[in-house]
Amino acid sequence: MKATNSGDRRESTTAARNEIELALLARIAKRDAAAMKELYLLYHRRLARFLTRLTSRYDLAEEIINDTCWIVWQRAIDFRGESLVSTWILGITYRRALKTLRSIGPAAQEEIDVPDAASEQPCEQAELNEWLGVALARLPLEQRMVLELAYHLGHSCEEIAAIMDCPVNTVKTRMFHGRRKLRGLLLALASPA
Amino acid sequence: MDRHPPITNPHDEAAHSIPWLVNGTLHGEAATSLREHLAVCSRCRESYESEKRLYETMRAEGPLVFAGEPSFQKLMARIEIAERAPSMDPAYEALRGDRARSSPRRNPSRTAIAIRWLAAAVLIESAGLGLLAWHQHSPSLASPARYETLASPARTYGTNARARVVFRSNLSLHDLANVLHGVDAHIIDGPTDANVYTLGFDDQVSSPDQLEARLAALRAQSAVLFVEPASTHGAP
Ligand SMILES: [Zn+2]
Repeated sequence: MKATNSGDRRESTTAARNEIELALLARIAKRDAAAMKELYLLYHRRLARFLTRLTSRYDLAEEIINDTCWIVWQRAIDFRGESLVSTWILGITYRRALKTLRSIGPAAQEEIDVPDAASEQPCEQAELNEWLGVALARLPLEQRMVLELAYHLGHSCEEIAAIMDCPVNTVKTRMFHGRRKLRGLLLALASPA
Repeated sequence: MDRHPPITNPHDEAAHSIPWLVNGTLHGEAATSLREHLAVCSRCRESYESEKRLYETMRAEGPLVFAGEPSFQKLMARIEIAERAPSMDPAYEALRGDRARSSPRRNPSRTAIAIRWLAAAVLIESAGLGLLAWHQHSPSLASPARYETLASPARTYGTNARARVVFRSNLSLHDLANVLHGVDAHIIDGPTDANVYTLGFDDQVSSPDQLEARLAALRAQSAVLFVEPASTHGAP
């Protein structure tokens, strides 16, 4: 069966973006600061909000981004295009983020018990806007990462598996449980005490 | 937990696939059969619509924009410091361990040349950044963030004009004093972790144009690696 048009579009956009980023990496390998800046601003824009939400602190988000880009600066010369540039960079970001989150202690990864919501209960937009950040913060880290990578950054299941270095089925399962729990949290947060 | 629930009916299968259709990454047979199911199952269609709202909310950029420029300057300062004195950066040690396994160490002279080039490049770029920072970091537009960046407002010190500066690290105290006297500046704060100093100026500097002139004078100094304006609470 043929892929959908939107699928084709996404694939060509992804390929075009990857070409641009590959060219930037080649220049970065030659210590081109202007190329580093271009790539940096591209990823800072993508990652700052996601990491700030993840860590609840911009200073930590900035630290993770700068740790990541510092490694990119050092290793650009070794990158052989085994994956998309974005998958490679996000993989580094993911490992730095895990390290940072573990170093700041379990508080940020705290789990709370909420009723598991049935899938047919939709969330109202207002509740979503108001409580999304709080609810996401209460998801188990791995589930939250999958949700952020898929919905905030728009990565595919296979890309997320490469970023998190785990099987595709694990990503699907984390997504399934993460959404279920998120829905429960949103309902719990939105219902009057 | 990573239990894999057995997928026993089309509704469960849809529940596992919907997120990937929603974010536009589900293709081929899987996408087609999910679409076919959604066309006939109102329950899963409702779930799809709800999921789409969640996706769109998370995807939306919103009003809060994080400025990448100040963070990038920190990175550049860090690269310069780390490549000059590698052992000072703990992350470098870990990386060196990895690199030692994969490829030989970079030729130091090549790095030194690159860093001089880099410093020049950043210097040129910061000239363009200047006026932008003056406007973006005025109090009325400032984001409510509680962190301090290179471009955060500095403490008030008599006059509104401020600059953030990184000096060449081998600068003598004598040369530093000469640089400061040359532009009638004094150190108000610093160095930060990224070796950034905040400079204040005398009362003659009271407009962006006057500050820009002092910044240009600073940039002309070989002892200065980075310069950017940093407005204070009273700045326009
Ligand atoms: Zn169904």
